[in-house]
Amino acid sequence: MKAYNNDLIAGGGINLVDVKIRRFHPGKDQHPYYSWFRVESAANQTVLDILTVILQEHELSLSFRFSCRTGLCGSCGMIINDEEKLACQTLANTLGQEITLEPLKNYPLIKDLTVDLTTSYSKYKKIAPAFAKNHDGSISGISRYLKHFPCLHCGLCYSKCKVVAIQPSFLGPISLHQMYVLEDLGKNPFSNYRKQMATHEGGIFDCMSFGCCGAVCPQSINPMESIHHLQHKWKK
Amino acid sequence: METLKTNMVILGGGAAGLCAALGAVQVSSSIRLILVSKGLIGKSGSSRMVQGGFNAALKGDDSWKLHLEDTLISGEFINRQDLVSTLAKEAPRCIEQLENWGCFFDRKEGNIHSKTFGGQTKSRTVHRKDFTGIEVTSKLFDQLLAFEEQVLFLQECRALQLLQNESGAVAGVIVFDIRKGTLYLIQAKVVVLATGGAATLFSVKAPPMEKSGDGMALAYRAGAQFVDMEMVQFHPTGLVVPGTLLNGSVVEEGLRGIGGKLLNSQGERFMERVSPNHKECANRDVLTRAIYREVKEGRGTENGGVWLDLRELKEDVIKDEFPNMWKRISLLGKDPKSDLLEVFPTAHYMMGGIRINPYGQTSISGLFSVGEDAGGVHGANRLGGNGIADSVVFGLRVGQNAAIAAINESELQRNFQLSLEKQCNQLKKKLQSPFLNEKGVNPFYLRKKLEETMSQLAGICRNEQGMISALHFIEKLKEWHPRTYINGNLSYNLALQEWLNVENLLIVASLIIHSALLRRESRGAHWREDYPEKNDRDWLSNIVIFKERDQEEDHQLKTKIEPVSFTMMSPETVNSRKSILPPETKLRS
Ligand SMILES: Cc1cc2nc3c(=O)[nH]c(=O)nc-3n(C[C@H](O)[C@H](O)[C@H](O)COP(=O)(O)OP(=O)(O)OC[C@H]3O[C@@H](n4cnc5c(N)ncnc54)[C@H](O)[C@@H]3O)c2cc1C
Ligand code: SF4
Ligand code: SF4
Ligand code: FES
Repeated sequence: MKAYNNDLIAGGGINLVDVKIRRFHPGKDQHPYYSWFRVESAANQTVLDILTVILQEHELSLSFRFSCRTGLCGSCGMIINDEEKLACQTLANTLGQEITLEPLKNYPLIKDLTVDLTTSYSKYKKIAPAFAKNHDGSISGISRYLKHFPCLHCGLCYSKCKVVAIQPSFLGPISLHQMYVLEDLGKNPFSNYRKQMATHEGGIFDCMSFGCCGAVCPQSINPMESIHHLQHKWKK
Repeated sequence: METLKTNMVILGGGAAGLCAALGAVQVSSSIRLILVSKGLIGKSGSSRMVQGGFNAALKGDDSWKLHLEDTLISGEFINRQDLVSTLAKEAPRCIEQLENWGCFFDRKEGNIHSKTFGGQTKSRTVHRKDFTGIEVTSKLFDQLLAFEEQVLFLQECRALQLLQNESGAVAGVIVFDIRKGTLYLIQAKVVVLATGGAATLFSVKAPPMEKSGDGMALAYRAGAQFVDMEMVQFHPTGLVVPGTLLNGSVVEEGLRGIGGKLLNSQGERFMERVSPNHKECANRDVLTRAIYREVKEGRGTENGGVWLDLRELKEDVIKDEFPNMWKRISLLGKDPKSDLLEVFPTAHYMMGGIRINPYGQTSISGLFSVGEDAGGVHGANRLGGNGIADSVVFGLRVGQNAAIAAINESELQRNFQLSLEKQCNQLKKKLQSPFLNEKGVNPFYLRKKLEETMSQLAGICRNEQGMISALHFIEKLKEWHPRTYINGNLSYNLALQEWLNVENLLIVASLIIHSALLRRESRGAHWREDYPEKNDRDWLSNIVIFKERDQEEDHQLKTKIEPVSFTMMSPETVNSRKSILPPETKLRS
């Protein structure tokens, strides 16, 4: 049964959508629950627009994260009708009459739709993500590098990855993709260290190659492919 | 409440804050610092959104002097020349430093490629396609992660109040943890403000919403001086998409640089009339006024904009060079080959700000400022590409200087103006207060009203009467503010955040208007209907505005009008450059 948290009655010709939002505030709420809202959705409105209307007009205590509102910062990732997406880049009118919003998986929940994206940094740090030039000062792979779009650290792929879900030590698609990028720029001082990390438990050979990570990436990055390159390079 | 002690606190996780942190750790491995960011570090703020690029005179036929000249001419000579020369001289070295940190810029035939931006005599805007900001902020953060032992990151934490000792020197800050809803009391030897400006004060705006003039408000309360606060830049081409958060997002200048045209509703390419020499590549202030006029005089589109025509550009060039722009246009269901885009100027950047010297020191001991929080570099009109350059050049410099100051300061201050416990208790009470109101307007409504007032009465086009009524309305909003209603609890409460935002925005709004009332002329971004001419005789000056530390109310604002010192170049010298940069043709009025 839908019990709406607001009352909006259909007016002539206006497109109404039902938005179902998973709510949970760890430490305060006993159980997760869903709130239902019926809202008007105009052309060009994104899921982020709709969330903003719900927040400002119906539910002041709703929590979600955004910053740039133009697909650049990677802060507004969530699960929209069962698929990891950026809220600011998803048009509401492509989603049908019912929109279900849930927080990303594989991250600790802060509140409602907000997760602690920074937790994946503890794994990210392990791969020595900082760039360091080769010993001779050269960078060979720069032109290849420039062809790629940069990773937003939006966490969509990390949320989607089934191995991360079951094996906490798995470094995951964001870190392993970054490792590939750095390695592809040419041999550098951290190469040996990274090879060790990559071929250890939780590294590249734990990836099960389902390819879900690339399928949700808003930057058209395919972390699985990056992992395959590393697997090839550092064959067991 | 948790108490922390450190050498140095940096507020802000944009390019300025990140660079300040990297600058500081370069100084000494003994420096310990805390980087506090209201949003996620590197992922919040305008720096992340930089699309166009970074100005640096790298090419053989370019020089720091030309960069300086272009910047001063564009800023209409009220820039602080010592700051501009620092920017122009150090920008090339910073590009090299950034590349050493793994930020790579587009190249052609092995050399770093640059775009031509409005108001520049050389193509000097270095970029990575149209996502330069992501490249820069994410690589700076990657780099900083290697200094984990020296740097403590407090993400999604906002600074609420500076701590001052008995003599007024800054000795720390109280920070609110947005996630947990608790306070940190941080004692430090120096504090660096890098929270970005408050160009979000207007209805149509480009920067992220969390930028709400927090650093400026902190500095103001502490008694710091501000310079040229009336200078708010509008970017000429903000997308018009009513009813969505995409409204006001920027269509990159580079698209005009490669042939994008502006048309009014009659299909006229009006920039040919307004600025025959530069057309769509004129300075931002010129374009902004021209677009505003077209709309006001009835030659605008239905939604109150003008058309941006990209139809003659090559599809693969847009797709390849401006992938984010392509994405955004496609998201709206438009095809740049057949559809026109509706655009209108969008509030973009604050050129005015906290007054600093070239070391980033403010008028308050122990307090530094950098990036968009600081004023003086850009004068009356910022050149595209000079914003991120400012944040990086001064970020590194100011971070180093602040670290040296922290090292030289032997001990943490202990004699505070007010007892720390008292300050914390006051803040806790304040944070609880809106939850106690049973009903009332909500903070989002207050923000909306403030934005409307600023846009209508103190935005692109201003006059005395309008600005005075805006000030009255701001006073009203200040009265409403304590009566605002919020529900839920302190942790991750967006309404509470907005309530705090509005309080700060009201301060910045009133500083902008007070300065704008004083400057009785039109110059760059400051356009007064009642004083439509530029008046070099009386106004080659900076407006300095502040309140004394111990004064509570801002109707006791102090102001000073200080003539610019032309240490490097004066308006007269420009005439000798006429052949390179023809003067702007005057707007039809
Ligand atoms: C859409 C857009 C495009 C742009 N394109 C260009 C371009 O092409 N070239 C160019 O040169 N410039 C460009 N600019 C301007 C440029 O982005 C700014 O000049 C520059 O990024 C400012 O950097 P900053 O570090 O001072 O502030 P920001 O990058 O805005 O960072 C501010 C930081 O402070 C944090 N913060 C805010 N309040 C608090 C608080 N109370 N406590 C703690 N932290 C706080 C925020 O979360 C954020 O991390 C653009 C701006 C926008 C909006
Ligand atoms: S391909 Fe590998 S990294 Fe990607 S989602 Fe699957 S298991 Fe995870
Ligand atoms: S690889 Fe793609 S999905 Fe994963 S964090 Fe980066 S941008 Fe997001
Ligand atoms: S808000 Fe920045 S990516 Fe959506």
